[in-house]
Amino acid sequence: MAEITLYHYLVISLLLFIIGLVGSIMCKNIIKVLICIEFILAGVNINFAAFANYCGGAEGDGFVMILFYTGIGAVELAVAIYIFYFMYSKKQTDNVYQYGDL
Amino acid sequence: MEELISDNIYLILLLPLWIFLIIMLGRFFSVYVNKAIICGLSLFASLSGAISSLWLYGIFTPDKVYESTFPFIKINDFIISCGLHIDRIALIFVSTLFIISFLVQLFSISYMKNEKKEYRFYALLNLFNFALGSLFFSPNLFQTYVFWEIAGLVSYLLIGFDYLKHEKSLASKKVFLINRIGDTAFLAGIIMCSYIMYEYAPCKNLAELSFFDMNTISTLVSVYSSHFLFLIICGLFIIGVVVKSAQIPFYPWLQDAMEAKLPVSALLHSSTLVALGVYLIIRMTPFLTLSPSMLKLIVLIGLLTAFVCSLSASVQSHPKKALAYSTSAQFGLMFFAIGTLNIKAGLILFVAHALIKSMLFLTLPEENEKWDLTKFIIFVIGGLSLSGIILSGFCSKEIFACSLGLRGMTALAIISLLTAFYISRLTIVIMKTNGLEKKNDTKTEYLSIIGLLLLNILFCICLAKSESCKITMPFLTAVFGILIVFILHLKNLLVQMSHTFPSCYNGFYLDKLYMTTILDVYNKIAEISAKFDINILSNYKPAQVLARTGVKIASFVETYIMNGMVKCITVCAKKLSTIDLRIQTGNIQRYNLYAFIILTAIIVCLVIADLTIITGGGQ
Repeated sequence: MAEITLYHYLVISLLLFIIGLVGSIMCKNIIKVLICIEFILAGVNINFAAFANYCGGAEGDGFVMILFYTGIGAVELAVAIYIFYFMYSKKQTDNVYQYGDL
Repeated sequence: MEELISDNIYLILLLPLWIFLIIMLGRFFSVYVNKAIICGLSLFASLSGAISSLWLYGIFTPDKVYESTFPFIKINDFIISCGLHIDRIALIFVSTLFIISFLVQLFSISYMKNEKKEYRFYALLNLFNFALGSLFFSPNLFQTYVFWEIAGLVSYLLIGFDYLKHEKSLASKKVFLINRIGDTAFLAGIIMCSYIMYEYAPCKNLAELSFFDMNTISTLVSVYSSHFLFLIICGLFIIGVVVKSAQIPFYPWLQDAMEAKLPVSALLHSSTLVALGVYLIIRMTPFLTLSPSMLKLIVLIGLLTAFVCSLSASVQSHPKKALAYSTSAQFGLMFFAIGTLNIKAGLILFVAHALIKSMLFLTLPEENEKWDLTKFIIFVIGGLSLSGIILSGFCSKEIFACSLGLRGMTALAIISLLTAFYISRLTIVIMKTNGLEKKNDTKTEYLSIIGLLLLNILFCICLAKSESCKITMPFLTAVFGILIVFILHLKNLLVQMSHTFPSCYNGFYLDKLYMTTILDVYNKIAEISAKFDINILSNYKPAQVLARTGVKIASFVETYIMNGMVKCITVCAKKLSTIDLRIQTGNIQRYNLYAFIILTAIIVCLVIADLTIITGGGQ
């Protein structure tokens, strides 16, 4: 059984990022888009954690960055859900393609 | 302090240009609606120009020359530079220009109040100031020529200011066309000089004909060219000068220029535009000193013009035309002074004439209006000054007369007699036809006229302090001339003089001669070519075939190539617009995708660049 190296983590984070990106571009449902954006954030976070663990010193800068990013993600989610709620009540649909005319 | 001023002297030239641009472009921002801004700006520009140039004149020692140039056109090793060349002669001309222009603008604030599009007038005056200032400060003949042309163009526009009136636009056209003769001759002279310098001179720098080494250039030209060629070059320059200064073969244009507004004639045709000729001839004196025959020619031209134009002026009934003839005559005197290589006297005559003549113009009454009493008094003072009895006219003429021999003195005395005669006759004629009246309204016109009078007195005091003035023959003959006018006036002979001497009244038919000969020749040429076309060319087979094939080729090019090009452009634009339309869907996710692709591309490029730099550094 091989040891888990930095590259394994990087591959996982890349996969998460790509899934999130493709999903946020392709999905029609607004909630799915939101979830995919969270995927992207999660991928980035894993990247940070991996680098902090393998390359960084004892200060743990990467973990601090993860805290920040999680906070940003939460705030963004709150704002986005609020906006989507309004859009939904206005358009009566959860399809992103219908939101094109702002 | 001195360096500070001479380093920033170009500002007094650029200020009028900026104001011209502000007023002309201000149409889009409706600056021109506010007259106070326009007048204030242009007054400020000319006043600052006058003050700084006078100050600089006080600082500059007679031999000092300040020059700063930069290369403007480069053709292999032939370089034309442009920049500033400041010495005392240029400063005299520039300060006179700005002083007169300031006072004229002050005059026109109340005079032009009711004109339409008056902002255009101020804009053109500013452009004119810029052009003339740059001309007087120009370091070489090429820059002089450029601004010479601009000055000609602006004078055309100013004379034809009321372009809706037919005779005014015709007059401005005629002035422009006659001036073209001089311009062409001047350009030809420049090109010949420059060519000789470039081909034969040891140093290629001389080919730009800088004023700084005009002495060297003139000697080199006289060495490298034959005597005949040298005379031709001098003659070309003299033609250019003579046309601009309205001297003997070409003086009729100045009378046509009198169609302009009063302030315009006061500025252009008394002191500035006509002064270009004097300026250039002073700059070209090294050329003239090398050929005595040319000096004699200039003296001859000057004296003849002074005599003929004084005679014509003394029978004119129209006041502005009389003053125009008088301008030609006075410039003839300046040419006489320069021809005898008495440049200082020429400059003194020029400044005195500029101050007096603009005063005379500005005090003229409107047609069919009564003459204001204050204006009348100042006109009389100006007239006496012009004939050389009091003030700066007296000083300048006596200084000039002291340097002359007996023959020159006699000529000057005759001209002085005629001057006194025509100016006093003109005063009496205007007084009789228009009538006197006392007006009590406060206008800026009075301010400017009194300013001119004060400057006149000031200049006279300066002259009297520096030079000794003795009373000589011209003074006595001028007094005699005024006496003659009084006697004639008592016998009521003055007004009908224009009918008794028709040849004098028409300027010795020079204008008519030009019109008839040139028109005749032109008509003959047109007739002959029309006959040639109708009778020979239209019946000649090969010509017809040639014309037809030409038309065919032209239509082919027109329909297929030119139209194709235009069509190609429109089709391309349409295609591009449809593609662009397809991109702009309004879908957020699409935009997201574009952003991601572009960002990735940028990052990839950066990484590749970074890698290549690293590997390049490693090698």
